[in-house]
Amino acid sequence: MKCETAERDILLAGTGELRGSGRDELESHLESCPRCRQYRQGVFHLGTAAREHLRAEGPDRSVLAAIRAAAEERHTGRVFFPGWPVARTLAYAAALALLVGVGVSLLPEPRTDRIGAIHDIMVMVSEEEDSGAEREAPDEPTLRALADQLLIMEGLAEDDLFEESAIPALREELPSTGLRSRSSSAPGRRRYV
Amino acid sequence: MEALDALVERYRAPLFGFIVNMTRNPGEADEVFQEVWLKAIRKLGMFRNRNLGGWLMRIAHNAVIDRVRRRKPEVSLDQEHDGGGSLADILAGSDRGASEAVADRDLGRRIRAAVADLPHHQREVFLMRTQMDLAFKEIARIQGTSINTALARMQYALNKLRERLATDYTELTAGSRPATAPTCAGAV
Repeated sequence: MKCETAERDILLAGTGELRGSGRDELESHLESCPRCRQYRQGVFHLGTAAREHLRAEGPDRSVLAAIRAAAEERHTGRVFFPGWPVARTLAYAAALALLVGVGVSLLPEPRTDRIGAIHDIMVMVSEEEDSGAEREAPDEPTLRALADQLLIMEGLAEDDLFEESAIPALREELPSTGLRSRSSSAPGRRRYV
Repeated sequence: MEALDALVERYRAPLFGFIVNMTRNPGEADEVFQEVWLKAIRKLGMFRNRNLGGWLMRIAHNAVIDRVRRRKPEVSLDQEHDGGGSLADILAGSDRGASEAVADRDLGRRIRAAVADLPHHQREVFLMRTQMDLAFKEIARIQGTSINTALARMQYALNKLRERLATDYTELTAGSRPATAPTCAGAV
């Protein structure tokens, strides 16, 4: 190792920036080079003396007071929240959770739920029929038409109800009742079970 | 506020020591010190680095450069200060025995004069190292240069100081005038 390199390594060793094999090489060089040993000692003492004598008792008290006043003004002038980065992260997470929740709530219902609702409508109409009411409910044809439309939309028009691909549960609950397709049906009473 | 007070107090001496030795004017050093902390308070929310001392030094480095660029005549280290006494006396701040204080003050005066005569960048590296105990990697980053350049500036500064303080350096090295304020990080 050259002395020029050793001088730089001595400075790096003083800050802890020289490690491992570099440090070992420097120590090995210092063992055999009195000049560099003297250099290291001189640097150490000069640094210590400089650290002491360049230190200054300052600044003026008025400066410290002005710094404090500025910090207080800033603190009261607006919300100064030391944990702002953490709070901001939590706020973003809460907003994201809210958005996801709203998004999920806006998703269309699962198909089986919708078909279940259609079935309920059919049952309601059927019960109305069985109740012996003298008159049809004013909106019964509308209900029937709605139920038919819903079934068609779900791909479960009358012929589909009894196909293999139909939902088994629905097939069990709705045995063949002579449902007619919309195109050929005439308003009339149908029985849904 | 208490946290800020503790922070300011912790870095007060080394930061002010850096600033006053760079500006070589106590009045100006007060202004720069205040300016540094006001900027630090404004930007504290953006502070992400772990090295607060290095961050403060970066602000101080920029503030000093701005001042140097605006300045006209150089201020001598023995120039009379408004409050009376020379700058060297103001910087002394020692309360040792009389004769020892005189000798010590003389050494301190000589060291301060020698450091004041260093070129700007060499003086800055030397002060960042001795006052704020910054690593050369951090010093290089603040100065916007390579670590090799920072090391070279430090070597040049040390060589100049050794020449300027030849007698004192010999005594220091020989141990006849030990440092009166031993520090853990005595190495430069």
